[in-house]
Formats: sequence, structure tokens, C-alpha cells
Amino acid sequence: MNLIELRNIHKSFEAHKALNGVSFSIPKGSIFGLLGPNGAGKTTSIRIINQIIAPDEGEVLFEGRSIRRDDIQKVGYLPEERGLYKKMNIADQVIYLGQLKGLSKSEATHRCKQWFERFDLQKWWNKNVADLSKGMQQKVQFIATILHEPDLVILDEPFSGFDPVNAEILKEEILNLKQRGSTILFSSHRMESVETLCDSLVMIHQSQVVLSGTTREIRQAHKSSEIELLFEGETPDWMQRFSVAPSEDGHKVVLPMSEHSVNEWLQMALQSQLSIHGCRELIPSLNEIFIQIVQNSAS
Amino acid sequence: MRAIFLILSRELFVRVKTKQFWILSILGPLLMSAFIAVPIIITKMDDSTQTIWIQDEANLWNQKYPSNDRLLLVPAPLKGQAMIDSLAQDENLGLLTITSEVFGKEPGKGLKFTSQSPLSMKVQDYLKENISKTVEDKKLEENGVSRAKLDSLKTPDFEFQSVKPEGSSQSSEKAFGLASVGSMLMYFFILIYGMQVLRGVSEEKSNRIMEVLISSVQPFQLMMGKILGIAATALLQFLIWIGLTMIVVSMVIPAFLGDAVSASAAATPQSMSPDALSSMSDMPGFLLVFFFYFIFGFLTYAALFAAIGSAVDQEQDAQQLTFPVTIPIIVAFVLAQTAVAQPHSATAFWSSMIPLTAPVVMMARFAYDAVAPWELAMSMVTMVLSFVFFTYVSARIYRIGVLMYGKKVTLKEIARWAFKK
Repeated sequence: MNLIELRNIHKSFEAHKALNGVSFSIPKGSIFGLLGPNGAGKTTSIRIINQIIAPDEGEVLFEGRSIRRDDIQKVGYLPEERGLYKKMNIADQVIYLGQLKGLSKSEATHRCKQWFERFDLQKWWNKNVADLSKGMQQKVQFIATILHEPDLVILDEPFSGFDPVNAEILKEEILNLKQRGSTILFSSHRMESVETLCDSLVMIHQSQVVLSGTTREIRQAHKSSEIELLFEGETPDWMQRFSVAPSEDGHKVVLPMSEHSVNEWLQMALQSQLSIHGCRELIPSLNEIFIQIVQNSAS
Repeated sequence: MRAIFLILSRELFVRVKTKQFWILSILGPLLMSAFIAVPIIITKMDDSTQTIWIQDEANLWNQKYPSNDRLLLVPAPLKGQAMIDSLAQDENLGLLTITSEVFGKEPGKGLKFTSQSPLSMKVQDYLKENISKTVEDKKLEENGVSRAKLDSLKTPDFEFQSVKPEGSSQSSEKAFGLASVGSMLMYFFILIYGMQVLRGVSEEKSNRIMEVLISSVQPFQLMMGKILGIAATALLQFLIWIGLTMIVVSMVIPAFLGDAVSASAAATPQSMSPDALSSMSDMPGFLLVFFFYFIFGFLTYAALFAAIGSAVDQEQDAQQLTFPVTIPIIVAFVLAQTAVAQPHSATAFWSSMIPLTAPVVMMARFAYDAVAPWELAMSMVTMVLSFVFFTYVSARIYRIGVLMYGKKVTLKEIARWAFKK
């Protein structure tokens, strides 16, 4: 079951085509990555899901039916550009934003207290945003995003501005949200930041979807069928035609699996009296896949 | 509706909680009262006494000099060079010479004042009045007429009483005060609080909370909530002003200054008088009209200010874009001055019909009772229509503006947003 489905979305701003026939679906309860470089169309897609703007063409489905105005209350959105009122105390602010998402005041206050305890923010309850460190502001903004327990949590570049410790806390909270049944949409141009978290993803480049599927599927599909061998000893003659490079404690070489299987390459290495330190199949990272796609489309 | 109400409440409470709001609420009426009170207090505090030597050659006063607690009139104790030397040395000393010419045929002659510094107007007026009265008394006596007889024959200055054909009467002085204060307050509130709308919108944009807000509520709700919230703040402040002014006028000023106020209030232009503000409350009709024009005038202007606020990234960038909005209100204020002078003129009529100038000008005209019911009705209808029109146009600009970042927007572009599909 898909929570959200975008079908053939087109959107133009003046002469600029921001989205050109974009389709993807986000399975319920999953962590979904919306990836692509700056200007690819990520924010436009998010704004369409948030109903901030309407598509020129195409359709957005929510739980299998056309999205409605009040579905907005089931969405929580953390924009890339974080922002809170500077001269309003943070608790009031979080409660206010919760109310705008349909919570009653008492419910919003109650949940706000719980979250402040969880993030160790109680003593800042009456403080203004200006008194908070950047990390704390991020936490407050995160609480405001999820206070109304949305079905869909949209996080745009969620880790930017977080130090490693807080990033880890945030990661944990995201996994918690998933466990409680929320669907999470991640948007980022930094592939490595979401690679480990996302169940599936879509990659947008120049207003079009260039890649989609589960993270595993995509990496498998893009592997180059090569192995990397780490060894110590004199480079044998048969290896000379491959590029052998020095590594930390010896050498490394990339060998194509089209000629021999892994086992055969290993046997040859052993027969050449090499001491083998490691051997692994080369599976590209999302970043590498992405760069490859961008370069291909450029040429 | 719930969203608009939530936004309205936030705007109101955030503003009411600030120090500035209360400072302005309290200072407003105080400043206005101070216009009147301070000159009086200053005169009162100045308790120095001026000494004037008298050389009464005409024997006008018969040694009974009309001194008072500020002015000491004494016969000149010195003569000749010694007297001139004293006068040259002491700035506060003066010599008044009264010659027999005061009784001469040519009126106004026979007084000479010798001093380093000229006489103040006040002392001059006091002395002139006293001397002419004394001269007059003497002449009356010579002619065998008593002062009482003369007073009974004198006719006081005439005054016009403005009466409407239906018979109700009104004081034109009071109307003048109402007209001035009403149009000034209207101008002041629309401009000050209109700018607050602009500031509020561009603040939400520049601190980037806008994106979160419009993912929760529709841009139109956000805009209306803000405008109504700020309108509520302005109304609250206005009510505080009226209340405080009434307290100050009815209790504080009389307690402090006693009768001096009524004397000086007559000399103070009515537009500055707190009387005019408090007398507004005597006129429920005027207040109702004021509130109507304030609400619709404010909503119209606020929508325009909101549209401009939405189009800029920073408040500073708004300067040149606000011109087209602030000019009509400034023009309205200028036109209101002519309407105060001539409430029936064609200029006054048309400017009270055009929605962007009507709120300010209508205050001036209405105070004079110079508005026929059909005129008022027509103006009110155009106000409501303009509110609907400008809010619609502004909402269209707003919903695009709030998403625009990093681009300096021109008026032409804003106009295009308003009307594009």
C-alpha cells in the first residue's frame, strides 16, 4: 500500500520546467529518499505534496485516492531552511504550530511537555529562539514538525546543521517514528547521509526521475562486476595489464569478473605466492551511481 | 475559520505582550495631553518676578500701581544718570514712562518703555489693558458716565449658531476638533499598523517560518489572520487611548492645574485638545462611522501592505515598493485638511468616495455633518467593495510572493502575479 503516489507531475515556473513528468510512490511505513542535486526539483515535489503549490498536470494520490485539502493535517514538514519566530517563546511556538495542524491547545501543550522532556529542553520552555543554540533550535523545529503525529513526515536535509551527537539522536527518533507507523520522506542532495536509512528512493535530475527502487536493488543494478583485491608481495606478470596501485600495507588491484570468477582470481593470486589481505566485490555507493548518471546524461 | 482565529490570536497576543504596545498606549494620550499641559506648567513654574519702575508723569494711577504676583510696579527710586546706569546694568529691570499724552486726542500715545530687553507679550498685554481701562474710566468720569452704565450699553461680539433645516444645532468648533482629530487618528492608525502588517509578513518570510506555516494553512488564511490580528491590536490600542484620555482630561489635568486649563484650552488649537478626543465618545454616530472606516480602510490598506511584504525577502527591500501604497494615504491626509476647511467642496466629496482616501477624508466631512445619508451609504459600499477587491488581488500576490526568495521583485512583476492565471 502506498501512502503517497505522484503520477506524471508537470510543473513550470515561467520558462523554467521544474518537474517534467515525475512519478513515484512512497510505500506506507517506509523511509523514502528523494534525492537529487540542488535545483533538480526536490523542493517543488515536496511543495506539491504539501499542497503549497498545485501541479500544472498530473495527480497526487494520498492513501490511494486524490489528495484533499485536509490531508495536510496528516503531514509534518521540516523545510531545509529552518525558521521559527525570533520573538516568541519556544513552547508557545511549538504549541501554536501544533494547533495549526489541528491539535487542541491542551493536547498540544501535553505533547509539547513530553517532547521537551525527551530532548532535555524543559528549562528552555519560556525562552525565545534567540537564546537557544543552533542544535537546540533544530530540536525545537523537529518537535514542531512531528507534534501532531503525522502519517507522513517530510524532512528536507534533516541532518544539515546537526553535530554528530545530535545527528545520532535525530536518526534514532526517525527510526522510532518509522516503528510507530509513520512514513518518512527524506530529501537530500547528500546521498551518503540517507543511504543507510532509506528503504527505497527516487533520484531526480533535471526535473525528471532518473533512478528509482529500493536501495539494495539500485546498488545491485549498478554494480560494475569487478572485485578489488588487496595483497602483499611482488606483482605477478599476469597482473601487469591491470592498474595496480599501492595501498596502506601493500597493493590493490581491480579485476573484472567478466574474465574469471572471484574464486578463479583468488586461485591465481595464491599460486603467485601473494599474501592476500582482502577481497571484495565492488558495489558502487549511491553517490557514485548518481555521479555516473549525471555524467552520462551530460555526455 | 479556526486557523484564521488561531493566527489572529497569536498576532494579537504577541503584540499586546510587548513593552512597545503599552508604552505607546500610555504615551499616546499623555503626549496629546502634554501638548496642552506642558506650556501651562512651564508658565506656572516660572515664578520669577519682574520689576518695572514707573515714571507716572500723567498721574494715571494715583500711586496705586496694579502690581500682581509676577509683576512688581514701583515708582522709580532713582533719577537722571544713576537711573540710566541701573537700567543698563540689570536686564530684568525696566522703566515705564507715562506722559500726559495718554489723555491726548491721538489714541495710543504716551507710553515709553526703557529696558535692555523688550517687554514680553504677556506683560505688554496686561499693562495695555490696564492702562486703557484706567484712561477710559477717567474719560468716562469727566463726561459723567458710570462704568456700570457703559457696560450695560455695550454689545458683546456676535457668534453664528449653525442650525440644520431640521432644527438640530451643532457647534462648529467641536466639529472642527472632531474632524481634525478623527482624520489624524485614522491616518495615524492606518499607516502605523499597516506598516506592522508589512513588517510581520516580511518577518515571517525572512526568518523562514513561512514555509512551515503555509504547509499548515492556506496563504489566504495566513494573510487574513495576520491582518485581522493586527487590526484587533490597533482597535484595542485605540480604545485604551480613548479611555486614558478621558481619565486624563476629566480627572488628572483639572486636579493638577485647576482653572488654568480651561483658560488655555481656549487658546490651544482644537486639533490638539484632548477635549476633541474625549468628545468623540459623546458622539456614538461618529464613533460608529470611525470604526467602520477604520476597519474597512485598514483592511484595504493592510491587504496591500501584506502583498508587498510577501514580495520582499527583507523588510529593507520594501522601501520603494511601499511608495504606491503610502502615497494615497498621505494624499488623503492632505485632502482631509481641505475637507476640514470646506467639507462641501467637490474635492472633499470625491475624495470621500474614492476608497483609498475615503477613510481619512470622511472623518473630516462627517464631523461637520456635511455628508448626506446617500453619500455615506455609497462611500461605505465602495469601501466594502474595495476591501473585497484589494484583498482578492493581494491574496493572489501573497500566495506567489511568499514562495519567492533571492530575487528583487519589481512592481511590474507584482502586478503580473496579481492577474495571471
